[in-house]
Amino acid sequence: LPENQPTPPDGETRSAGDFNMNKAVKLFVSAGLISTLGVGASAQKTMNEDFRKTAPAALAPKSFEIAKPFETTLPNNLKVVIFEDKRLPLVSYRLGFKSGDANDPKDSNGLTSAITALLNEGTKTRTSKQLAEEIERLGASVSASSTDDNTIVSASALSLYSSDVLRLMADVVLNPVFPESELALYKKNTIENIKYQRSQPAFLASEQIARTIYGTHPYGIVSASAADVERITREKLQAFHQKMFTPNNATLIVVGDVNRENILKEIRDAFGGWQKGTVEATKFDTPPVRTATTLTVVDRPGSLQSNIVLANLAIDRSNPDYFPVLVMNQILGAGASSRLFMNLREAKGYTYGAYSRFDTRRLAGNFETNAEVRTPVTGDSLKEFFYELNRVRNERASEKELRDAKSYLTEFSAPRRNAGRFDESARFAATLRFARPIICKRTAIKSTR
Amino acid sequence: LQLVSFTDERRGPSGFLIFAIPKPGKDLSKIRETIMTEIKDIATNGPTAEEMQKLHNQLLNDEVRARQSSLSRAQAIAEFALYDGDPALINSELDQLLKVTPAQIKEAVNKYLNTENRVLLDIVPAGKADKKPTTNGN
Repeated sequence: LPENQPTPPDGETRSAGDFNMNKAVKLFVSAGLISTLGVGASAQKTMNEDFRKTAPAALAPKSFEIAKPFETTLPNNLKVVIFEDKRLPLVSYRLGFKSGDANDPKDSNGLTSAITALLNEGTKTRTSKQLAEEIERLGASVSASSTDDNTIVSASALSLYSSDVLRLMADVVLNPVFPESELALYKKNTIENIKYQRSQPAFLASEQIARTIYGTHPYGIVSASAADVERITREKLQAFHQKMFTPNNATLIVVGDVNRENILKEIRDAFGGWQKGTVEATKFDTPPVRTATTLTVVDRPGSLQSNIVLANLAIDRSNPDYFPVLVMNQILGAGASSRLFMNLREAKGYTYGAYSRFDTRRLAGNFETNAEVRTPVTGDSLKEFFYELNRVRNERASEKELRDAKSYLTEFSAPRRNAGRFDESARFAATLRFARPIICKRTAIKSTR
Repeated sequence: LQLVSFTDERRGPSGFLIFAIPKPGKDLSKIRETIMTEIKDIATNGPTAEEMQKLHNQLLNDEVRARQSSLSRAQAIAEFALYDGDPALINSELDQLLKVTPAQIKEAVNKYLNTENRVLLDIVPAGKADKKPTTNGN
């Protein structure tokens, strides 16, 4: 506590805090001060009352339904999904393409990623600066990103500006010009970032894991190299944008306070003239078949910790075992009360955290457990990892573990927690559209309860 | 360059801070000069109509988004109760902010952002102290 903290005139305790602390943090610190200084003696008493000694019983689960969407397809094959949701005066758009980094041409890694980064850096009628100013003036946001499987352009605003932001979104999707100056800046920044990534142990580990597991399948590449980025040209960006950004490869999702008929008309105006293209099914190499345990060591002199990753090929997103695997992973290592964390951190003190996760993508997926441990306990940590992996394979989980995992996943799952958040609803809806039909997810959430 | 400015809100005297994180090799004095010029511009001319529109849209947008989750609503109500003694302020804060006029902004900048009366800190990597400005340098 700083000694020279001025006492506010009304005598209440107030944290000086760091100047960049937000109100929420200040509030937390203030609450702490009240009890340590003994100012809140009555608060202390309340804290010790009998009824606080046992946790209250959980409330009965509430039913959780995603609003039914309206779906249609424009003559150019653009799929449109509208969730009319009038709770708040907001609107979110997601335009998703069923192609991503994995579809980069073999000699042009990083092309999709560059397209998304440069999409709102200039169109046929708006400069980068004009776009930024228009978006800011509306208090809106327009951005694009890609994963291995998908490319998603997102936009959101007050519903008052539904049309304005939709038109801006359509402009960056249909008319980007990828100016040379912006491309040069992108290359410079991206190459700097790649250099930085290569200094990070977690990146080096993920690079090796991807290579080992996926081989020459495109999932084997976690990042473009500096040389790949150097090779990107404006012509390549334009040609690839032309090829991949086609309406028959896309779904537009609208969530928010919109009128269905009006917004549909605006969508037809904005995207109706978008010409169909040909979507070629890309042929990918098959990930290698693994028959024995292998070990890869990345020597990084001077490291104080070992970054341990155990991984293997697992399931893709449409595998029928998806939900059982999710529950199993909750027990094994998804969270801070899962077995790996309880063992390696809580019982042994080897690490700040040990986790496992399933990365389930469209074409394949993998399983990973990882922890950053103190270097001298690297071997001991491996032993515990193998112990937990064998235990979850060979022994039945207890009823309590199973119940807790299911209740965590169903009652505290991301979609449920974020049901009130528009951007999250839109993102979630987008994920589901690409992953599997919504109805299937609903049933699964109910039946695992 | 990364540039942010904010008020350090307190019940007692508060600070107004501007941070700039330049990319390596950028001229620090030029960045300082630009910041001072912008402050003097608002002090002389006040914000433009377009800037006011942008401000209103962003205030509205931020406020509505902050109401999306029950946790952030509870937090806001608790903060108003703790700091201001009136949880109901959550219902009127936005109106208060939207009521602010360009003239009031100009007046406040004149009153509080006196560029002659400021503390200037250049934080540079060790061994590069020669890049330090003189205390009166803009």
